[in-house]
Amino acid sequence: MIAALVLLTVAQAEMGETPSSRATVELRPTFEPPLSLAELRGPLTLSGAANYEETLSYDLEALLEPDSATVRGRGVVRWTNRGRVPVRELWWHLYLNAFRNERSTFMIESKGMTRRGVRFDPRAPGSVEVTALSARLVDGASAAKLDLTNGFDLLPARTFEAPDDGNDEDRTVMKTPLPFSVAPGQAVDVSMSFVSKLPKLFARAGYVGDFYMVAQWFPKLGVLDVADASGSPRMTDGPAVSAAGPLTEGLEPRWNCHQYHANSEFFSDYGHYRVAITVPDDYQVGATGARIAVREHSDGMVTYVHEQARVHDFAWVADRRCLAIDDDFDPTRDVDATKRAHVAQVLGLSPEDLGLSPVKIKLLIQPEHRAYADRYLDAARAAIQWFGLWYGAYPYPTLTIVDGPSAARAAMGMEYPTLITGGVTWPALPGVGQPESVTVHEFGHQYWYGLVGSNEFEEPWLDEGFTTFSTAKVLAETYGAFAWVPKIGGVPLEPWFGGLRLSEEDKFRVMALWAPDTDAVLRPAWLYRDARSYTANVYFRAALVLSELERVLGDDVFARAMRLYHLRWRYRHPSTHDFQHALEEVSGQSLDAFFANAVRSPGFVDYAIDDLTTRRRATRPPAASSFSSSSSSSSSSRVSLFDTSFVIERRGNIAQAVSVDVAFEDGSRQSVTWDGRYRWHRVTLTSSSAATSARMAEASLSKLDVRRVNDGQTTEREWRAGAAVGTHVLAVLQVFASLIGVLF
Amino acid sequence: MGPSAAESLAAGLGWTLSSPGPAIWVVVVQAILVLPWAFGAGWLADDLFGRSVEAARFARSIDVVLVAELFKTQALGFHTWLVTLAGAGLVFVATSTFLTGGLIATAGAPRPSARFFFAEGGRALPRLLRLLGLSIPFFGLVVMLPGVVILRAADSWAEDALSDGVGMALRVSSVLLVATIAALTLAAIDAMKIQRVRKPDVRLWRVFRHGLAFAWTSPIRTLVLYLPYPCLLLGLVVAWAWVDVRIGRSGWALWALGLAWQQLGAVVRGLLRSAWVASLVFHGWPEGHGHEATLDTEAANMKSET
Ligand SMILES: [Zn+2]
Repeated sequence: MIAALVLLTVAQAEMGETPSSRATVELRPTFEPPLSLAELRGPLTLSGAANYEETLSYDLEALLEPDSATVRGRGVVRWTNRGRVPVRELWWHLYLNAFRNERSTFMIESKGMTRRGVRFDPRAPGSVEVTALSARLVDGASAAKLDLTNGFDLLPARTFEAPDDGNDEDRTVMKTPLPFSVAPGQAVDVSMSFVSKLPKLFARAGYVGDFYMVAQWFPKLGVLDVADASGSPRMTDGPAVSAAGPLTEGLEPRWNCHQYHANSEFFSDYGHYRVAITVPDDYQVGATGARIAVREHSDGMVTYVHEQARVHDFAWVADRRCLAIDDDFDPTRDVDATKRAHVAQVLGLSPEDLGLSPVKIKLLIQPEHRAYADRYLDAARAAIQWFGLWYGAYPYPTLTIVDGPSAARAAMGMEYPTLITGGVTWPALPGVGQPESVTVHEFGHQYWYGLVGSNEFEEPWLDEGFTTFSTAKVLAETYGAFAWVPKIGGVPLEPWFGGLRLSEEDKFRVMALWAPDTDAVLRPAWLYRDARSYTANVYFRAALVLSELERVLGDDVFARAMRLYHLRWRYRHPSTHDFQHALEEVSGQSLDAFFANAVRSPGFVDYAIDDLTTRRRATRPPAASSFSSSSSSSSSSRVSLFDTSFVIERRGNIAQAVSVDVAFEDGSRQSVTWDGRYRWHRVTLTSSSAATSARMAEASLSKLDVRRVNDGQTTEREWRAGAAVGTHVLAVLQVFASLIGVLF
Repeated sequence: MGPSAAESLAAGLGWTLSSPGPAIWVVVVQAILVLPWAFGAGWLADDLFGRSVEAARFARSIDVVLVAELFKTQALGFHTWLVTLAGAGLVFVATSTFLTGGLIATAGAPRPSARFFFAEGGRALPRLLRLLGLSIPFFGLVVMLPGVVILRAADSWAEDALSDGVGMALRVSSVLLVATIAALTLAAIDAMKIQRVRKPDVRLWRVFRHGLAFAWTSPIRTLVLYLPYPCLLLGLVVAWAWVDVRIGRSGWALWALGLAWQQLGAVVRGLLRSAWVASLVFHGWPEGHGHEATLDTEAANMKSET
């Protein structure tokens, strides 16, 4: 492996001949015409793309040694202080150290098991060991040639920090004091060597068989909280949880660098990455960014150089078994003109404003999944189209989709910049949404995580909730509803239960029911009560919050606000406040109460109708009528009056105005409104016909009101429901009895 | 030599079709047994959402979203159902044993009367219950315990398998293996039941050994004889359920159609079970062919040891 490292150096030297700036210029993302949103009503300006200042550049070499599942790496990272005060320390993520032993914070939180039921194997742990780390200031703007021997060695003073939970055993965050201070605008070059040992795959990164998912593999800098113009540190929106030291007043520089948690792992700065990956030449490699060079070596190794600007992470995969399929997204072919015109109309733009860029798609797929290749690619193209039309063009030139073997399922369904992992297991029948929905979801993260770099630790809903919500829209537009298919031992019971189709919104509701009020939608990822509450709130209640905002503000206002938020915060780190401001800016209304109740606190909406009665009022015959009252003519001349009464109950802790539709036997309807504040409100009506039902009006029905059974009552009992349940139970028990009979 | 497996299977079906009485009585008793639970569930459902505007939708078809909501918000937890079903299970076991006794005793009898069926079931019940005391631990030891080990091992191998095909093959073959062990063991236990009912004076321990010898000395023959009916039964349950979930219950006519379909399913299952038991009885269990001598010798040896 030393020989191979020498070769790497040669490769690097040869590459140095080509001016790196040329390649960089070509790889710059293409941007949509700026200020297209200025045509929208309201003072909307775009600053996101124009304001971009590069904070980081990484120039790395990586050598994969398959036999020991080890990646040897080295290189240089240049970090520029974009803050307003001098900085005297650097904070790093060393996330493979989460897999060193079972005492890391990740292991304690996850209990050594991921959601796909794969267990940590203590005999195959993972780690990243930094073997050399030295720093030197870059003078002015000139990129001084790096001299490894003259840098200051940072290793003797390095410490491991546990800002989130004080766990001494956790080594996922490293602090390195600097012997000099980095003034605002000044840059520091850090050269490093490291050895990354991949764990046997059980959580996202690792190896199994000949499949290597190389993620969270290099020492990655944290994010310096950059002071805003007023001089106060810019913080994300979560509760005052100390991320890296107490939130002090004034201009103390503060690193936002969290430990690796079971629920969250992504927050870092945007930069320019160039990585030379060397693997045995019978491996396929997929990686972040575009491949700009390939060099074959005489010892059976090959080096692939990948490069990408404006991303905040770099991941790669090496696999000996998979097939590589190259395809593309071509906007002239893959964008539907009518759909584009419709989106443009909603956004108040012209179709020409919604230009999209071509994307090269590489699919690395297991041979036995070949039949699903088109489904992966079609889903990716649909996602590139819809996300691009709604929020802005996907600006990167490549997208790599990785389909791993079933034993690598713990690495599937993950997002990295321009690289996503899908996941499908045989048999994946059409119509059940696999691999389509995971492909669209992970692509969605390119927008809500990748391009908009919200803090997944402190405000995970901005990643997962937004992705869940927008994925559902793409899936509904492209596929309609997928079938809900129960499985027994991995075998789907389709086609027997193919009739059970759930809309994406129904799915949100069912999932939200699992934890309707245990936690807030906005909360640091590692502080949720349990994994179920995290999933229910961060993915599904968060998606319902967005649906509710869409309902309240209207489709067009909401769509414009989402686009504004996205474009304004591209390549930056927005918070929930920034999202709220975008909504308020476009809608012109304050959403403080909504965000306080539905986002920042564990509030839920539940209105119920109860005690519905309707009674004929004792009526007297009209005065003109005689005493005889037996004939039909006399009854028709009578005026029957009905007294209807019901109670609207507020069972949730969020109050909002509601309206109730009351239906009557003669087909007439009456609408009743209530401010929804007190616990209950009794409604009494007098009418000429008996009431048949009272139900929450569809238009006033909050998307957050996930309990629907109590949303309305009928005056007549619906016996068929009980009868249907009774006979279903009878049938099931009879089957049960006849099967028991076989045994006893 | 006794009859072949095919002859026995056909004879079992033939007898059941000519004397469907016992099968029908089995179905009737089972239906009476589960009716209170069905009524209870219906009333509970009616109480929970009989007046909800969602009720009509629920009557049309099973609505998974509503089911989920009821379970999550009405404290209809999994454990409530577990306790209810466990209680029901005990009653089912006792009743099933009684009915099996009746089926075995009447198998082969030309047009057995109801009185005969129930009297024989009652007579056999204590003897079969004592057999249960032996056969349940035996089943646990021979099928459940190794079954769990085999299925879990296969599952963890399958999870580590690099291709879906290998994983699927591992899973399917482990299920087939456990099913085979279960079938052979159940066949042995059925042989014991038959001897328990038809030869009341043979002692329990000897019956046990006898059943084992018959089922396990020639496993292929046992499987050929034993498996066709349960496979047919399972296939029919699946096909029946496929139709059943597609019958809406939105009107009384559809509701009645659904109920009729359910009862038809129950009757067909009853007939299959009857034919199955009868085919085993016809095959000569426990009268056997030639093994008895060996067993008698063994039994004699054991006696002399004690
Ligand atoms: Zn996600």
